[in-house]
Amino acid sequence: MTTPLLQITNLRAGLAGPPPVEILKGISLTIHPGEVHAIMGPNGSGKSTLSKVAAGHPDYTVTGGDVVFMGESLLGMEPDARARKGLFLGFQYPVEIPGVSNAEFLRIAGNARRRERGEEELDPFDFQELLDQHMKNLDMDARFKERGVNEGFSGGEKKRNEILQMAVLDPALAILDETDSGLDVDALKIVSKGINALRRPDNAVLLITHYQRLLDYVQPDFVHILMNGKILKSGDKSLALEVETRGYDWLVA
Amino acid sequence: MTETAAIPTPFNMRATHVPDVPETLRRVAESLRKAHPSPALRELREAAWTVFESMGVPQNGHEDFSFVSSADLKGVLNRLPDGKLLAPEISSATTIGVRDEVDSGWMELLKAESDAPAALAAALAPAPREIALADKDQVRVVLAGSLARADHALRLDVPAHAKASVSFVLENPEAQAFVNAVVYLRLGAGATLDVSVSEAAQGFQLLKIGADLRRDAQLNLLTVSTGSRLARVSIDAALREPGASLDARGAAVAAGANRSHRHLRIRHAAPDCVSKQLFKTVVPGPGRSSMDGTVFVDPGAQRTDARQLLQHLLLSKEGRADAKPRLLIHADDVKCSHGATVGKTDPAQKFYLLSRGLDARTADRLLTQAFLNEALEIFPDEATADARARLMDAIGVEAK
Repeated sequence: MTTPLLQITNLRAGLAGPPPVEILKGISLTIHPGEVHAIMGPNGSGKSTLSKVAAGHPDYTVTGGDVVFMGESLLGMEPDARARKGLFLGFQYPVEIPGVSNAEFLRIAGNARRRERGEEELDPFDFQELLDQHMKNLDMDARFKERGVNEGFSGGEKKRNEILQMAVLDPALAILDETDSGLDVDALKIVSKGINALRRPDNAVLLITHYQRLLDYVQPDFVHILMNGKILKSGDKSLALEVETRGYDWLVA
Repeated sequence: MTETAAIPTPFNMRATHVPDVPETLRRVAESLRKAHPSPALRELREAAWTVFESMGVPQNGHEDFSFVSSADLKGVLNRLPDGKLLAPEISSATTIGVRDEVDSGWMELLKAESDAPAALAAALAPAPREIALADKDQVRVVLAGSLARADHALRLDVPAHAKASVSFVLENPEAQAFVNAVVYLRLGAGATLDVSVSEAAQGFQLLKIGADLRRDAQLNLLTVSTGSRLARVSIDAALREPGASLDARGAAVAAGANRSHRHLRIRHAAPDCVSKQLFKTVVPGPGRSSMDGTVFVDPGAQRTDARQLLQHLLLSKEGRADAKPRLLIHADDVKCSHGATVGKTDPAQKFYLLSRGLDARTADRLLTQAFLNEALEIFPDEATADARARLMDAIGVEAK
């Protein structure tokens, strides 16, 4: 048995408030290297909260339990330290940052991660080469390099840009929050291809999604159903198919 | 409708109070005037002094100086000249005609002057200068301060259809030094002028830029400042004939406990003119900034397109930012917008950067840079690289 990449134990968390609102009511989840997990659940079940708590969003607070990532508790760790350690959050709604060039941002982020891993930083030329390669894989136009971060990107372009960042940062664990929402079939295929290309025996992916459509392209090893802040059921890919045909209601009955 | 339009300007405090005119300064100014051999210069000084005298040193509560310390203002404006011949340093180019004598054009400009320090600068300037720019001229003008006082008065004329650029540097490296300058820009029909103003300063500096734009003239202006004890730049531009267009931007950091004041008066005196003002100031620590801007649209200035945005980034609780965006519209077929914002860096943008592994300092630096970029973008990157570096340096460690 390998050491888990991520071990969530009885996690209780929610909006910091005021007033504080508890959203996650005791979640436990273990992710090992090489695995793909999917969390599904209806609106308001706490899926996005889980991803934000893991990434250290300041609006959320943990009231119980623990989240251990690569042997170290994330609680009390700054969001940037979590990222440099190898945790990646793909945002459901990536923000636009006009005036910060996408390429410059990616290079600073990529080099911060490289430093953390004891690797040499890439100079602008080497980085450019790496970036061009990743962008080609994601079928992204070169002009996205010079634009402001996500500035004026369409919904699909923003999601591709998220996967591009994931590729540059090469995380140990990527949590992708509804990366499939707002994507047409072609874009979904490209994004899925990008995610699959980054899969290795030593990293893992946690997909958060409403629909099982994404799971046709990125095959999960485990599927968890999150409802009312709790994981009600875990299984393999067939669970996602069952939800697709029966909805979520049968799980609470 | 052209320059004949007479609009009451409620912000001009002339004649509403007894002007404060220091007696010693009056005597010194008079002897300076009489001593000069050139009748034209004597006349200019006389006219400028008369205008200054009608206003006096701006007192507490003066609407055009409401955010500036009146004690500081009085302190420096009352200083006496030490008799040194301080001339503006103008980079030489064969096409530039610099004349020491002055022509009648000055009278028109001075009589309309509503900024008291500017009038005083013209009354006391030891060496007023006229520069006739030619097409493709690139001129650098250094306006240096002095421990007593240094007054400068300059007029730049851009002939019709010429395209030129000027950069003004306010050099005032001593904490007690003072520079008081007035610059008049006159753009002929179809002329284009790029102007950048930078302040390499510690002490007290006041700069007034008057601009007069004729038909289809285009003025692009960028002011860059890291603030100082007293740093005030006032821009007073008139779009006199149809088709004139102004793009005025400012990028500033009120570094440390510095002050940075921007005062903008834009007048649409003719139809079909365009003006855009975008001024951005970062207050990283206990500094103070003000941006006070008014757009006047004269009767008959139809199809005016005027936009104004004054934005502050306040990075700590100790800082202070005041913004006063105003529109005074006397025409009915116009497109005008104005606004002011003040705030911290956007928390959602910051979290996004942090979540990619950028430390808080780097994230703040990038977001602050991005904030200022929009103003700096008026000119190509290579032209603003120094300014950018200086501004980022000024934000320094104080950014939290």
